[in-house]
Amino acid sequence: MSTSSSSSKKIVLKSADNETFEIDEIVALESQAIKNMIEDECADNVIPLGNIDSKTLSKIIEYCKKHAESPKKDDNADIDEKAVEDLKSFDAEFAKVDMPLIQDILMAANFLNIDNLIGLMCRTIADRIKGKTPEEIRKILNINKNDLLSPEQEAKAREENSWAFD
Amino acid sequence: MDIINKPDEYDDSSSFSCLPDYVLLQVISNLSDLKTLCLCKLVSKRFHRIVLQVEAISFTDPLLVTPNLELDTSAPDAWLGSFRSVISSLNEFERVKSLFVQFPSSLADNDLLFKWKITFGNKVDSFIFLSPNLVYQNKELNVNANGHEEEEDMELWKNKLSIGMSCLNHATMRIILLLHYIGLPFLEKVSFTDSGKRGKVSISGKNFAEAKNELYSPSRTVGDKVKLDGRCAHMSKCYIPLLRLPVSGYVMKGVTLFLMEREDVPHDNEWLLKTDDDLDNFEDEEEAAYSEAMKLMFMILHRVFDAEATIA
Repeated sequence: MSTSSSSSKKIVLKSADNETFEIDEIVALESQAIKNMIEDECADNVIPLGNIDSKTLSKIIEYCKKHAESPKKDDNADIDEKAVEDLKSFDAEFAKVDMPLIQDILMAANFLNIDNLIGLMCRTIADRIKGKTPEEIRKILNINKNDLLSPEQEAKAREENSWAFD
Repeated sequence: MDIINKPDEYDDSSSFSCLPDYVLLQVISNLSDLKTLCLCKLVSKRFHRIVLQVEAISFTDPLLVTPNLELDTSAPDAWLGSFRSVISSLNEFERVKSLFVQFPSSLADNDLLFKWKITFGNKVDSFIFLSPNLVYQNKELNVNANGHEEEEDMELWKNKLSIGMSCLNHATMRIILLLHYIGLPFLEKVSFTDSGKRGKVSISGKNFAEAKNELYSPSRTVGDKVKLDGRCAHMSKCYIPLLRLPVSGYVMKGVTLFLMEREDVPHDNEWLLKTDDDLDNFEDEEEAAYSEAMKLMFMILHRVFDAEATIA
């Protein structure tokens, strides 16, 4: 379980804006995509992530570090509750960022295939649009205006679901 | 069309439009509330398309009072109120597999302690009603200091029975109505809970289509067909003055249990003891204690019956 050993294997990630991040392999393995690359031995010393900027990547590494350090659920049945609580509050704090960054993290987590992080970001977005009007949701998520329903479609949908607008 | 084709004032390359559909579906799947989903449908064309793919929905049964289906099954608009519009919104979500329905508790202000459970196949398969006079958490109780009734109070018993029966009737009416109006082809599982957390109904998936077919076949009234009636139901009753619950650590006094089971379906003594993800996901300890008490008394009841059969 020791993750802090200095002799552990390192992986270098390179962001779209050419910043490099050296991390322990065990942290990188939180990403299923990187794990596959390492297992298939098609990862060089430096893994370029051309679609993830350094701001997003550093957040993702922060997340993976914390989760790699925490005992996994299936490791043993009686993991101490404190560790679970600790991870929960970390996740809650982690998600307290603005919507554009959440969306960037979600995009990147999806690309890197980090299941827990995808789930966390999806829940966070859902929490922020819960109880909001369609107009507010469009604003929160910066929905492309070209994708709006036509006035006729919108009027029809409002009519059919009028009970939901009370 | 000019209005919507105006040059975009938002950033066109926003991450959100780049997210694949299955990720957006995962976001939306966190929002199971029907009303929220209906509002989300209006957000954009893409939302409209993806929201309709959710597989689990929860909503509150909009009927405030249960109608008397014995008298009229044609469901006049007067008492259906907003029920039809809610259900017709629901029916648009064609891929729904599980439904979680909360209904207003008709006996919310009753001060009797009780909880009940119904399992529903194509009729009410079983109904269990548990009502203790008092509930304690073990540590606080010095049982011997408080005298308890060895014999059950007849007045209290009658009261409990009538409340139990009315819970069964109200819940059955709601199930019938929902089954009647819901037309979701992939529906596998429906669970009902009342808002006072006193009652739970589970409808198992494999019988759902069957239950619907049964409703549409001709007969006198819908109510007659679905309700658990005296002719084919086996009712048993059990009273325990003092019930200790080892798992939850609770103690219940003066506990009455009614159990009704259909005799015309294969009898499955284990139905209550099975683990059900939805029903056994307790929100509080007391709920777990009630469930434990039901299981315990169910077993006692069946052992008692076995013993009597042996003697006879």
